[in-house]
Amino acid sequence: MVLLCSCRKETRPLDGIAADSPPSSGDAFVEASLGDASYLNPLLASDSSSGGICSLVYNGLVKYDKDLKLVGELAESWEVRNGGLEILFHLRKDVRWHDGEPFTSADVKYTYDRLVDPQVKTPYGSDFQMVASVEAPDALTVRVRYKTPFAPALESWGMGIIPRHVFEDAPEGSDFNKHPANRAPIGTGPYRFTEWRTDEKIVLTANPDYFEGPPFLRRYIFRIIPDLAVQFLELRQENIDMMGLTPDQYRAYPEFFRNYNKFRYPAFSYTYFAFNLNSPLFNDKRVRKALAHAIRKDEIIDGVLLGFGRPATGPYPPTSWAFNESVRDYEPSDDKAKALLAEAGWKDGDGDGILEKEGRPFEFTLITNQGNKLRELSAIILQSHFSRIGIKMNLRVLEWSSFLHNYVDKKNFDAVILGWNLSRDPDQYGIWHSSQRGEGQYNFVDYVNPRVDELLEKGRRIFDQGQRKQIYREIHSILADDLPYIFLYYPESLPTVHKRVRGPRVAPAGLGWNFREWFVPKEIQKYQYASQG
Amino acid sequence: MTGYFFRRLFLMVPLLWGITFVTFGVMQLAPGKPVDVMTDMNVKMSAESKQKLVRLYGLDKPWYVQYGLWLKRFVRLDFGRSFKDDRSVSRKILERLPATLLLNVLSLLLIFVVAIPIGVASAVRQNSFFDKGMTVFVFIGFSIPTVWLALLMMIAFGLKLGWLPISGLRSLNYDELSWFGRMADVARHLVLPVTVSAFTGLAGLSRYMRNGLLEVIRQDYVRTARAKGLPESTVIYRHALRNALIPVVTLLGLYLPELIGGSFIFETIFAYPGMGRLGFEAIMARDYPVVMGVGVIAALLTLLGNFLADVAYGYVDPRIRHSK
Amino acid sequence: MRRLLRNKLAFAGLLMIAGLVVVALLAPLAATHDPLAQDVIHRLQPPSGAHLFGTDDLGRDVYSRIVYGTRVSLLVGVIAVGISVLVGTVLGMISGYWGRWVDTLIMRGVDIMLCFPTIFLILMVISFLEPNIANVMVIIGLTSWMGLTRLVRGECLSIREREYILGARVLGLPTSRILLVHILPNVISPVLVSATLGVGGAILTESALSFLGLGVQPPTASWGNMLAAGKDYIHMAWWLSVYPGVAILVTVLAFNLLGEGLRDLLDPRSSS
Repeated sequence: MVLLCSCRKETRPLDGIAADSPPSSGDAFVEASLGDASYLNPLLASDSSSGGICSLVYNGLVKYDKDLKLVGELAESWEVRNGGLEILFHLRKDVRWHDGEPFTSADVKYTYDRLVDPQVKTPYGSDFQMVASVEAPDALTVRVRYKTPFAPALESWGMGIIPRHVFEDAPEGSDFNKHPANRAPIGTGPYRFTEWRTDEKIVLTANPDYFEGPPFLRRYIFRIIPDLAVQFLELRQENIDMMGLTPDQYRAYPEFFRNYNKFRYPAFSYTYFAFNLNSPLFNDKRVRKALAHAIRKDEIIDGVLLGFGRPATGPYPPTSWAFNESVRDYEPSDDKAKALLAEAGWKDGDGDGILEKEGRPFEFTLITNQGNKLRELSAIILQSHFSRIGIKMNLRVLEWSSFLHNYVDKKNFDAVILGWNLSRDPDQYGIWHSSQRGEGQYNFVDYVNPRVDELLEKGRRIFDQGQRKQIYREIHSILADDLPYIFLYYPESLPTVHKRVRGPRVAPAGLGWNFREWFVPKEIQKYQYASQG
Repeated sequence: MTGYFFRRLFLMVPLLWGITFVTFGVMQLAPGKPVDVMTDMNVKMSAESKQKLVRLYGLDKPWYVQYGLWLKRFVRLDFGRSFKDDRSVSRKILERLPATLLLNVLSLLLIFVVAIPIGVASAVRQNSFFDKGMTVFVFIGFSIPTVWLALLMMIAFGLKLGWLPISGLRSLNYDELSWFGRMADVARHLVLPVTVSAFTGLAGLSRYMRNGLLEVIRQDYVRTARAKGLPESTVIYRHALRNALIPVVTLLGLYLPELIGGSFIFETIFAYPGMGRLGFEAIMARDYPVVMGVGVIAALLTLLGNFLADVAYGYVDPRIRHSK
Repeated sequence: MRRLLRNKLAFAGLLMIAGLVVVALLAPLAATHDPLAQDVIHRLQPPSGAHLFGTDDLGRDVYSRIVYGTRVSLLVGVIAVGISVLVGTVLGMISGYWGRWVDTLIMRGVDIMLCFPTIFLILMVISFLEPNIANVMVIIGLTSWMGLTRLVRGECLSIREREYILGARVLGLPTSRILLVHILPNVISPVLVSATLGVGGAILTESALSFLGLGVQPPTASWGNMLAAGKDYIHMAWWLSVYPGVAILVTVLAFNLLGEGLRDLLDPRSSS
């Protein structure tokens, strides 16, 4: 809750309009994105643009509410039975698709069938691999059976549900992939699809029959502007209503934001410095700890994030229920770092300022992907930290695809700076379990710890959050001690929203959780539409 | 003439094949696979799903099989489907081609309209202050980093003066406008990109025109015309200019690839919905079918430009028809 | 040389280039700060006495980075053009001298390459390789030789039929000697003009690549990547983009003016 307090917001009425004017529908809300969407189908969408649109057009069975609790969306309620081997969903009865057809359990069954269809180009199949069967005993009930209990299962049913009757003419996976509805979606969500002008904009219109009540903002317009500097120009011209800011932009002249409210809240992600644990330099835990002592995370947060972030201690951000606040961070101390290195056999024998062991200097290369300024800058600061304790770090910035393919996947690196965007469920089996070390899998640092393996397996099987909490807190503290990564920082999201729009409120879930309730008072509506819905 | 026409057309076939081969060959050197971009570091996507995507895209086949399949479809004018959204590549290109052609044809027109008078005036007043000033002016256009110029113009005319829209091709309320309103709206959006694109392309043509005219002026028939006592303006505009303009036609063909190449960067900065931006994004995302499609179409346009220029040249200059 | 002096614009270009070469050579003396030294406390400082051109987002001195960037940008221009001159001249001479199927093969290759927008070829290749300074130079060089090949071939074709070459062939002089001693000197002047113009072009191409994140990589300063990084600060720190932008503009302009001057000078048809 500390986080809520740190959210600043200047609410000043725009042009003398009372701050408490009643909600009224109308107006449009314009957002900008660097890239165009690909598929407006939640099963196929893998980029953030498509994902964002899909979340307005489609609903899942469950969703996270503003306090990050799983609540029903298309499902009214659910029962977890047989120790998690079976989940029974009871669906809402008042839901209709945008074309008027009723929503039923057959749609859920259809969505599942496509998720596990080998012909369908979905990247989300792995969550549903544990499912033994999905049945629809009646129109409003769905029974999901699992092969083994799988705690993140419930979360996975936040996947958008697609309409069977629309896709029915495409029984084959390949037809599904190129179905016209992927460009003109029909969902159950608060917004209906209206228009997609390739590389220009996507337009959605409020759904007057939405089962939780129609949204106030009549249109949602998604503009595609592929350059950040140009996006910011458009924002200054007030052509864009919402945009995520960089720390520098957030701190820029207040007059840039005369008509905007700025928000800040912790993003659900962390940035880390990962060791290749196979490297002879880093397979010694004392060396890794020495590097952790050498780093001044505050300097990175002040210099790179301009204070918009927190030092990280482990793989869970403070907003997660799995976060272990008792884990202490490594104290920044060059003396401790040097002592640990000396213990491990690293000494500056020839007086050139660089440590040696058995005649080999302590020199390594850090790689990161290009295009992420914050990571590059963090790396440059780390360079100076390490040089103070006699370690020479070279920096290579690589293009994303070759970075992943030739270096990370092949474990062809000494150290790397990257970030993880996390899902709300703390299951990080894919990142830390020793079975996930193959090429292209995510345990690319080759971390092996039998206790962590055991905890990860247990954490997936148990549904009780109290028990899971203990498990993940332990994982947090083990990882903080083992240091396969040095966890650098938890960044913040820094969105700005135009002042005429009322309703944005920061919660643990972020900003957009109550988008349906955002509105613009009648007097200051910017875009007029002839027929009000 | 017809024979020449068809001979030229026939010569384009091996070129076309070479174009497809070069594009495909370079793409094969790539270390990355298109699925990297989709599956980048997302915990929700397992290695198995990645393998599945590789198989679905046919990327597990050897390169010559992939090339053969692509070529077989290509002769039926089918460029395959984009990895990004499974849409037909021809459709994706076709829906963006008009915007790119509009931008390029307009800047080409503007270049000709501005550069030819500059060239002529510079030649007529060779080495004058005007000539020097214009030389510097057109070369500034050529030497300035395009992106920077574009941003400066956006700030000046979009943000500070508020005369022109900053980016895009249409306003948000485009659909509600009258026919005339729509024309005006698109025109306003085009002013900045066309101006920037034309300004950076002035130098080549204006220098060519200037030097070409200077050369013609020194030739015998112009001297004869002068000697006959014809007024200087008649000599230059009636006799010299006509002959100096003929080779300019061939430049049309040479300008096209540069303009299309420029649009890779232009369209991105101006958020302009054209083919260059499609190509650029496809290259970065390893979307092979789209890259090949855009490469082939861009090269085809160039071939077509060269071809038209040749034919036009053969038409205005009869000597060409007999040689060869 | 005297004629070059008479062309004031070309002379100005030459002076500028000479000045830049001096700056590049004496960069450690001309710079006031270490171009890589960061000072996060003094980031984004406007130009002042301590920092002539201000500081960038890491507190590095923009003036010193421009000075060191001169080296990188000139190097990229010169090496890239060197590669393209080498490839273009060799292929052009082979094509023009031997003729027949070799000529056909090379010229069809040139035709094919010329059909692609240069930037498209460069982007395709560079996005697959690691974008570092060596790759940037090589790729710019390897995608810009086609015009030169055509030029050199044309010159070769006309020289080949001259009597002294025919004489040399009758005497049985080795082909390599004929090419090097008799033909090469004749193609040098058009190549020189084209190369001078090419240096400017290569510097511009590097800046375009940097805008797309594919040019010379940080922390090494090139004018291109400084401009690209400054672009995102154009609203709040104009000095980050204006100085590198002007540096590129002035340098490319200088090479173009000199190239045009050389063309006037060396091409007998356009001299008055």
